[in-house]
Amino acid sequence: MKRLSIFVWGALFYFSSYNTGLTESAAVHQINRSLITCRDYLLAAGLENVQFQIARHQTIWLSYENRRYRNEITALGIVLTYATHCLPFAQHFVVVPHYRKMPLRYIEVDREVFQKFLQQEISADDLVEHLQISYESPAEKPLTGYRSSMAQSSLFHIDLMLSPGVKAQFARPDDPAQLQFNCLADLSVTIAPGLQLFGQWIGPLYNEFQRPETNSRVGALYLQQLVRLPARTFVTMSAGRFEFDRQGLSAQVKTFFWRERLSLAARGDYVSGQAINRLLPLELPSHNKLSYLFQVQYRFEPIHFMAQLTWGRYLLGDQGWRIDIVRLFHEIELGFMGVWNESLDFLTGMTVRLPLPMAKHPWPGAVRVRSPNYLSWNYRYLPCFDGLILDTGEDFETIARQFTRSFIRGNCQQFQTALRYVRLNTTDAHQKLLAERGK
Amino acid sequence: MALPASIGTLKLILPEAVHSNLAIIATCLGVPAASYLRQGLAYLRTTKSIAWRSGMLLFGLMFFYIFTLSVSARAGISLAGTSGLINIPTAEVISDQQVTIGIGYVNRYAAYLERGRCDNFPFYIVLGYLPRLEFSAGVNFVPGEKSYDGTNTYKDGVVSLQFLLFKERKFLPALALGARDIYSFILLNTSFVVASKTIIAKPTINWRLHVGYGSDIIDQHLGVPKKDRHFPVGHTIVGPFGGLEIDWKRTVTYLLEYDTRMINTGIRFRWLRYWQLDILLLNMEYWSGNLSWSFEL
Repeated sequence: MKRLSIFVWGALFYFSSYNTGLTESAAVHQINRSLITCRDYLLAAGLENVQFQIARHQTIWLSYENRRYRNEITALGIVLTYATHCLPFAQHFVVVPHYRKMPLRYIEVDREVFQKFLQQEISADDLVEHLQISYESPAEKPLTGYRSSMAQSSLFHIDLMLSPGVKAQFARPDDPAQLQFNCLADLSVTIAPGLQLFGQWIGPLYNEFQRPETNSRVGALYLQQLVRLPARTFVTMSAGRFEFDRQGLSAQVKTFFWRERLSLAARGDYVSGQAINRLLPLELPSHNKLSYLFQVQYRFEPIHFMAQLTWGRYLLGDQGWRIDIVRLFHEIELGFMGVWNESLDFLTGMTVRLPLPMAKHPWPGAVRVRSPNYLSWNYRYLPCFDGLILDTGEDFETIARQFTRSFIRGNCQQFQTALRYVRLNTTDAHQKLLAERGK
Repeated sequence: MALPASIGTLKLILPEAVHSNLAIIATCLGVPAASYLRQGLAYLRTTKSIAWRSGMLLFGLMFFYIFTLSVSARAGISLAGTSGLINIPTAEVISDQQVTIGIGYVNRYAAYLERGRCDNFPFYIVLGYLPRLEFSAGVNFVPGEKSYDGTNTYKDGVVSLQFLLFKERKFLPALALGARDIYSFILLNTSFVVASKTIIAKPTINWRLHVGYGSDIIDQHLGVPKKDRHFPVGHTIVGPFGGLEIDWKRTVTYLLEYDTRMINTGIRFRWLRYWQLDILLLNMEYWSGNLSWSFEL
């Protein structure tokens, strides 16, 4: 059935713009074979939600979701390499990486440009300059009805992720070093486009913090819905248990503008429970509070550097300013934060996120056990409660920020890595088509 | 495959663990790389235990990784763990994405902490966090001085920033601003402006002059409980300072400086492009040293 649908829109594509000099039926057949081959290659590479759509001017839209490769640029490289080899009739690609089965970014690139890059005629910097990257869909939309069905859906595929959890506090007057090591088991499953169920179990291995943290417990269990609105606006809503004994609701709206370098966000959280913060060693008082935050973030394009200013009422009721800066060195993230409020002069902290060695995860089947992509560590210089923001897990921006020029420029070697995963069979139909076009 | 004679001779006198890595280390030293690497791997095949082979291979690869991924360190690192000569800063910063890790030894009679009583061992990490902005964090270890944590080694954390305002032009010096020990309990603070200019530039020898002024405008402790905020702040370089470096092929550099308290001198060696060793004579009298290693993220 899928073959038939591809055949039909392949034929329509041919009639609209493609002219090879072959007979119509032969050309349609070859185009159809090429599209099926490309799709099969992408599926074989472990990508999900693979879909092709056709637009005018020999443009192909390629949608996919990557949950297999740690670095999104690797997956992007695989998609573009297969597309370049398998679809010689397309001159322009619009690649649409998905997140939780929802379109996240739109990346436009000319086939000829990427082919030159593969043949090392242009540098990675040149390639990056030719990429058009946006949250907004290109003006030239795919033709109505000219789309294949989404192959290899990511829905109801369960990911079980085992990772270490490290917590530390140094230089306290009463205790120079407090440490905690946990085993974290995270379960995540996308159950509808944009809707994810996330659960976390914490198994303590070594604990010098408060006694309740010595017990095995459910760390988090919540539902989170991501919604795309027009004009580069995203809404995230979460409900459930977010941290140890801290449950409630959270909603955030974020919009991007000024070439997507500047973003504004507003966020409201209503949580209750006697909480013990993951970062801090002290038991916090019972609370049942509404917090609201307003954030402005600027992303510097030449280097991967972001600065974010936050004002509002924080998780534990304190009110004040917080600044966060984050720099990415290839995949290593190093950030600092500072908090000012009425009760505190200036509190600082840092965030480190290191990529783990596993660049490729197991096949994303119905149930999969995998390692995390990154190991994160947050540290506050003083064990103070100020400036806390409810942790609602990974958000869409963590993935989206990998599709920026600065990130691609810093990780362009991943395109070469992608070539290692590409397995082209020279006897395939698309190669014959290439040969015929050459004649 | 037979090993080269020099390495083969060493086999007689060196432990096997050292010997089996020589070829790989030789690769790192820049001598016939592929050949030595092959010989190193071939030698590993002749050893008996798989665990031993694996361990040696891992050890060798670690060395290989460390040496080959490193980059040239343009700016020299001072004992304070920021770009500078011996104690004074210079109008330089390490390059963007570069990391430098180092440890120093400061003789007790020239030390800033517990002078005359305890040697100081500054340990530091410097990061080119942004182009022209250098971030440094470190700990000064003072063995022999009782610490708040009950041990017999006092530890003082140091956070510093240095920003290159202007790069050097033909007739204009480079200019940098910075501050050392700016956060937490402050014992070694200075806020400074410094200018650096190459005065003689020849293919093999460069003379570079540094002049600056250090201030004590930071007079409160930041990021500490309020009761401790107005405890007296310690300062190091307050007033005019200056220095001279004479560099030969970016390999050996003679250092001379006045840091507002002492006149210091020393020789800086750079080798393999990313290691730096300073042999220093603080106050023209007390031997000290500084060793650092750089790599790029």
